[in-house]
Amino acid sequence: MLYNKKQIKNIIPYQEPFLWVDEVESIEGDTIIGYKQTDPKDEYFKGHFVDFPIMPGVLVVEGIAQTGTILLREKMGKDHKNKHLLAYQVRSAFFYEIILPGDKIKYKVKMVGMYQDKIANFVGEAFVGENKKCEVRFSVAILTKDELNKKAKEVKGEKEEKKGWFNLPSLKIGEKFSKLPIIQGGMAVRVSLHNLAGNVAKEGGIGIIAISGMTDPQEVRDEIRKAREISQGNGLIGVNIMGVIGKFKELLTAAVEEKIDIIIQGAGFRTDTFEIAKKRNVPVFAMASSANVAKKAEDAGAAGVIIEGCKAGGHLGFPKGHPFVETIDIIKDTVKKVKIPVIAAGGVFNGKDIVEMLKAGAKGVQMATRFVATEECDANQKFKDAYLNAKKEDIAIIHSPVGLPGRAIKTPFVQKIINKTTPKPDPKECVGCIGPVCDRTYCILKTLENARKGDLENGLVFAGANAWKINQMTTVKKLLDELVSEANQILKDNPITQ
Amino acid sequence: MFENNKLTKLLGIKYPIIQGGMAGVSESVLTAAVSNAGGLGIIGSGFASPKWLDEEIKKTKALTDKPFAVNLLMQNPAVPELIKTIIENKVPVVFTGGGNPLTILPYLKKAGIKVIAVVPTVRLAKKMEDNGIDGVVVEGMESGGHIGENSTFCLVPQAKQLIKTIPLIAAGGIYNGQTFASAMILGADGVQIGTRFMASTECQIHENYKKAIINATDEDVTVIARFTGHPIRLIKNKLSESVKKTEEKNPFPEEIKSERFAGAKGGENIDAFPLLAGISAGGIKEIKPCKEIIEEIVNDAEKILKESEKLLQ
Repeated sequence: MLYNKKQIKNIIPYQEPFLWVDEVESIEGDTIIGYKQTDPKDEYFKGHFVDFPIMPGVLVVEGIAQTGTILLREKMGKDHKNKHLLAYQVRSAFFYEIILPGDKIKYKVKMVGMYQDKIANFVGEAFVGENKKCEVRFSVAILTKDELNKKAKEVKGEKEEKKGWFNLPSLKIGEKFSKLPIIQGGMAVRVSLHNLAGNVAKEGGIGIIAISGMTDPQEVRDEIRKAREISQGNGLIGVNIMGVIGKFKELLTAAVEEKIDIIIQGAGFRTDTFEIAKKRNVPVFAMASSANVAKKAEDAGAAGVIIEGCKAGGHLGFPKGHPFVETIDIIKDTVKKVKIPVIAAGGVFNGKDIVEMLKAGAKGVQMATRFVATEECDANQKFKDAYLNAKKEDIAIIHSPVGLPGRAIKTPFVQKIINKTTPKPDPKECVGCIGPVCDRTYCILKTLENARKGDLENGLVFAGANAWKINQMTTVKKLLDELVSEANQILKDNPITQ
Repeated sequence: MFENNKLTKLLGIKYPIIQGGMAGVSESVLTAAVSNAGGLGIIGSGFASPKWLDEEIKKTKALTDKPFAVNLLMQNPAVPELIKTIIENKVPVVFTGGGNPLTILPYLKKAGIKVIAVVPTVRLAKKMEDNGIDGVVVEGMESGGHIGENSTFCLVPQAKQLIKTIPLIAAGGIYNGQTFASAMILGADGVQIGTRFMASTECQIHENYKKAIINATDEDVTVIARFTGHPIRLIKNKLSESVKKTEEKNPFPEEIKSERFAGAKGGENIDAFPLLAGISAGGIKEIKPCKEIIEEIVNDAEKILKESEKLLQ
């Protein structure tokens, strides 16, 4: 005997239960002779055939091929360990007689040709005693392990490319497309204005001007026009407006007349939004914090829905008695119930989060907190510094006069809210910004305005749950580039297949 | 007779009948016999060495003062030296086969040698004419040895439509007066004959090989090694049948050792070597001297052509 089973296993990368040669008798020139002792107790006889156990022809072919690769690897020399041998062709196979359980199979395999060290051709025969049972002609392809790994990736890639996204997909807004599926969340009061929204659009995202808190429609017009100027026709520009604000119709009409690309409407669901939007065919995306509300929005005519979970900043759509729910859970629920595009918001911080939301079924994300610490954000630097300086424990849930909880950074004013020592609003100064829903514990409009102007003593700095993770200023371009590259890095190997 | 024939005029021969160059088979004795009988004999050089060719040319010259030719197998790596030998010996005509002769054409032309190419398709025939070759043999797959796909019956008239200036020679399946006359009617200026000359007194193949040819019927002639892309026509024997059996198993091309099927004179045991021959073997019944073969072909053809008017009655 030239090689026993153990030695064979050292030459070819096979082992039980898929080793079909257990002895090599000789290698002479281009011919190898090996054996396989079958055992009636072998597993495969139970299934081949149920009523008449015989050696499966494919296993005889496999045994011949394995024996052939022992010969080939011997001929390849030391280097063979860096190579894989793959089945390339079974040119013909003839089965002359059956092989019975317990037979000792003799393999005689001759290598008849080798081409450029890439393909080896074999003629193999199987005998039991003197009787020829099988004759096979087959070819083996020789690959380096690197080549095989590359091939495996190619094969995998090709298969998935047909049905997946390997890069961040674009986002359809009504009849238009946004290059990036990223909406910069509208931040009232006057935190996201033309500079932030215009620059986000310029870089291929969707820039949103928060018009809640404004009273003059001309301001809305001016902001939109300035934003358009900055964006130079790139991206999309929209407005965010709360349903509860006083001059809703006038402000929204002004925005629609400016031909904005999208209306995002939250806090107070109202049907006149759609009437106004329809005049210029502007798509309305409704804010929702549950699948049920999302469904209602769809039925009312919303072109899309933005699901805002409990990690968002500012007012949260979870009034008393409604437990906080994570964005991803609402998304999963919502995509089952609505057909319109679902956008994920609340706690989306980096590229990984974006991919996670898209994989859960969202078509895009809305992010606000991260856009605060950009040069372009329209708030005072002190407002931005509050973000940069905040620690995890500095993020708090507060009560807002609109009757909803809100998330903010603990400024001296927040301490007053917690201590319930906030000054009551002066009725003479009240512009009725949110009308009758206001509980008048303090003036939300004034405190938000104070904060965006940099007066943190008397200002409320709204922020998302992840705001404390931001430690340095950036620019809109850098931020978006970072998000896209993080997301694409993940998608490269794990595409979105929904 | 044949005073206005393009081929006889080009080569300075009496009859437009060429004995095909057969590697391992046609050498000085056969070549000289055919040339002496008024045709053109050809030494088939195959994979032979320059030394062998030099000797055969000298022997041929000793046996005849008529024009003769050498057939060059373009796959022979010794072609450059063989050309030297041909030029030194002032051989008047070279036939080429098994490859593109245009690369060697300038050297032969410069030496005043006429070059005739053997081709298997109409396209290649036209290409040869366009590139200054002196004559072209279109060989149908009726022939023996390595064969092409087209038949003589279709090749000749189709080539005739394009070949206007140089002589067009038909080959494959021509062996008697009828087939010679037919080839001329199809448009050929002359014919190249192989198998018929193997069954000649002067051919140096083994007597048993000659007997195998005259005993063969059309069904005894077959083709092997089609799957290799280089099919070979021969008379069935044990060797060819064993190859056929292997072919049923879809073998690798390298399992059919083509050198085993090169032309050869053969020996006593006709099962031990390949009996290369054309389908015409089925119609060849007698071993004769080349002179008789040629005269019989010409006389029969003359008779057939003169009586051909009757076919219209």
